[in-house]
Order: sequence, then structure tokens, then C-alpha cells
Amino acid sequence: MRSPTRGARTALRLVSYASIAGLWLVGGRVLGPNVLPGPVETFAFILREAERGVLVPNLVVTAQRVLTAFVIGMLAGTALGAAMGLSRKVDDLLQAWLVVALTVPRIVLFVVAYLSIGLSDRALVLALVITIMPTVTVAVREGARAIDGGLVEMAVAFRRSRATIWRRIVFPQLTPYLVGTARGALALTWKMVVLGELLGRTSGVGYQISFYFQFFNMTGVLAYGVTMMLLLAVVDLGLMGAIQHFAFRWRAPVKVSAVG
Amino acid sequence: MAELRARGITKSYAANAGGARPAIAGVDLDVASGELVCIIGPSGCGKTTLLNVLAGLDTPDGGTVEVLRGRGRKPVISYVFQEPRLMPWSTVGANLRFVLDERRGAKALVDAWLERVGLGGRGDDYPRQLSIGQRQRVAVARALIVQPDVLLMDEPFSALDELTASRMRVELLALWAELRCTVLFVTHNPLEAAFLADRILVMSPGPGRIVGEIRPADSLPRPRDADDPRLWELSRQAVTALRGGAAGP
Repeated sequence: MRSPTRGARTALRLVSYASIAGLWLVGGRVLGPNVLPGPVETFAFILREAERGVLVPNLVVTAQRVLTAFVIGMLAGTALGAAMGLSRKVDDLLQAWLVVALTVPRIVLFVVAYLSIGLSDRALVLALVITIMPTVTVAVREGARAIDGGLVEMAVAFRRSRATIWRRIVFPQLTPYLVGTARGALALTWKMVVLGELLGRTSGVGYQISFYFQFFNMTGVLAYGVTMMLLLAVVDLGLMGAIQHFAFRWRAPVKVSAVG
Repeated sequence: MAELRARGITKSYAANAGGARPAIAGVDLDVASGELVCIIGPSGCGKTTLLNVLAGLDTPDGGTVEVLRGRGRKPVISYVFQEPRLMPWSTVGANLRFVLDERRGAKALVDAWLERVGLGGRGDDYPRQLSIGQRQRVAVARALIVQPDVLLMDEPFSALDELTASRMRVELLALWAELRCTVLFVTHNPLEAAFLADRILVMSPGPGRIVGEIRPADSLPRPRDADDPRLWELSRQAVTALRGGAAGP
């Protein structure tokens, strides 16, 4: 089967987005603004919230929490994953912890963190870190296990230092796993932070959703939900996509010279 | 240049069924300074194990390895593997710079070496943009750019088609004639060994030991012609030795 041209692919994507907008528009008309506010009402609400000076500060607070948890979770998960992938002893030692961290219901994490630490940002960030860390650990562990031993052997044969081997041989091989898991971890943190704020914070997008929920204000709930979705889409497609493109530029299709 | 000396090298690996499986047993080896010695042996006789021990990649269970060099810097040992082992995420130039300690002047040196192995102007390409033969040339350049005293080569041309391999053998000899480093070249191809070597050492099936020696340098002056019937005769002798017959002329 012939693969579609670039123009055709762009058109198909536009159709995909347009179908969501169209369905939302029709759904809003059919169900009414109390059940499903349409895109026009929702975006008007977003603008009003921005003008009132409520939207941006709450977004900033949420983004700060996401960023803090994401960075800590990625760093800790990467260190643990690399250690588990490279050492069977560490893998055996931490296996049970990993299984527990992967299987514990996320909402329990938030409740336990708030009950034990208190209703604070620290508790929220800790719960978010524990939410993403196991996923990152598993991905990086698989990456560490797949490291090409031949390249490490080459570097050792040429008497390269341990730091150089990590920087030039190990890390680039972990990069695909890191970038892949970073996208997933960021999306997960972004979604879970709303739940965490809704449960126990008095600021942030989650709190605003909780606030409008108490007033049965569907437009408010949807406005903050849509804002979060759009922001994540921009970060994921823009920033993370650019990072992925840069990290894998060496994989770009190129013409191979066939001269021996 | 340096002299390579190994005495009583033994190395075993853990067997799947438990216990130890000896890979090489009591290998004695002397390679004179500037000499090109080939080691031939059947598959699994421990040729790569021996090279890994000599390169310091594996620790022997017993025996000693010495690289003797006159006064001055520590001897440099360099390795060309069976596969190019280039970092696919780095350009060809970066792959060469990777093995250099000195950053200053590295670019000019890399460019010069790429020129010498016929890859001038390809420094910014990624390995996947090169053919297999070109990648192996980069691996050879990477091994030589460090100005090695001892160059270890583990069947470096075995994955190439014969036309490319024969061309690279000639190029290797030209570079060796220029640099005069000590070369230990492992191959399973007796004809390749006869074409390249001053001496051929024959290894027994595993656990590997040196069981014979053939001296092409005594009967075949350089430069050698790949079609010289004497090469075939030496190759036949090597095959006889591999089968367990007497080695040597």
C-alpha cells in the first residue's frame, strides 16, 4: 500500500482535530450548557478567568508542582533504573519495592501522603514523585539491560575513563528510553497533579476544578480541564517533540554510500 | 613499537552446566617489536579470548602478559574488533576523537587519518551513512590514530566481501609498513594469514594452545602478490597444521 503524502497526512490530522471540535460543538448544542458547555462558552470562560487574574497564578502553581515532581522523579527513577539494569544484586534487592510502587493505587498515595505529612505541597510532590518514579525506573532498567556491551568493551580497550564511558557510551543508549518515559511521566504527572490538588490543596488548577465542582459549574470545570489539556499538548508536542527530534537526529533517514 | 610477551596464559569461563569451561590453556606467545603475527585456529579455540586478555579486557586465571617498550611513554595497545563498534549517535569524526586524549589538534589529526583510510571529507557523516567496509576503515583509523605500540586485530575483515577485504589487507600492510607497530592479527582464513604475516601461529581446538608455527617471512618477501602460488602452499601448510599435522616448512 502506498504511504500517504505529507499534505494528505496533514489534512488527515486536521480532520481528526476538527472532528473533536465538531463533536463538542454538536454535543454542547444537543445536551445544553449545564451538561456539556460548548467550545465557545468554555473558551469565553477561560478568557474571563484570565482577565480576573485567577487563571495564570493557578496555572503557574500547578506547573511548578509538576516540574518539581517531574525532575525529582526522573532523576531518582533514572538512577534506580540504571542501578537495577546494571547490577543483578540491586535488581533483586529492589524488586519487591518496585512491584509495590507499581501496583499501589495512585489515589492511595495521595491520601497516605496527605495523612502522614499534612496537607502541603511537600506531600503532593512526594506522592507525584512516587507515582512516576516506578515507571521511569522500569523503562531505564530495560534500557540499561539493552546496553551494547561491545561498545563499552571498545571504550575500555581504548582506556577511556569511567566518566567518559557513562557520558559517551551509556547515556546515549539510555536516551531513547529516557525520552520515551519522560513524555509518559510528564503526561502522568500533569494529570495526577489535578487529582492531588483537588484532594488536598487550596491553589492550583485542581483546586479550581474542585471549587467549580462544588457550585455545579460545568463550564468552570471544563475550562480548567481544557486549559490543562492544551498546555500539556503544547509542552509535549512542542518541547518534548523538539527534544526527541534533537536526540535522535542521527537516526534520520540518510542516503547510504555504497562504495566499499 | 613494543614487544609483546605472554607466558602460561589460561582462562576459563563458567559453563552453563556448572563448573568451568577452559577457553585457553597455557598459551606462550612472543611477538617481536614491529612484527606482524597472525594467529589462526578453528572456531571456539579461544583466539578472541587470548586477544581480550592481551588487551586487558579479560583477566587471565593464570599467566602473565608483558608489553615491553623502551624508555618513554607507557605502551599503547589498540584494538580492531570483528565488527566496527562505532558509536552510531556520533559522527565519524567524533568516533575518532573519542579515543584521543589530547583535544588540541584533534580535528586536523582526525581529518588526516580519514584521508589516509580513503574517507577524506566524511568526518561529519554518521556511521550509518557508510558501507560496512567504510565503517571498518574507520575502525582501523580509530585504532591507528592513537599511535599504538601494539595493534590487536580480531578477524577485522571477516564480515567483508572478498574484494573489499583483499583491498583492505593491502592498505593495512601499507599502513603497517609506514608505522611499524607490532601487530597481532587473529583470523580463521589461512590464506589471509599467509598474505599478511611474518609468522603464523596455529592454535589447537579449545582449550586453545599454540601448537604450530609457520614463517612466511622466510620464504615470501614483501610486497606479496595475492596470486603468488607460494601463498597457496603456505596456506595449505596452515590447514594441515590446523588438522593436527606437522606445522612449518
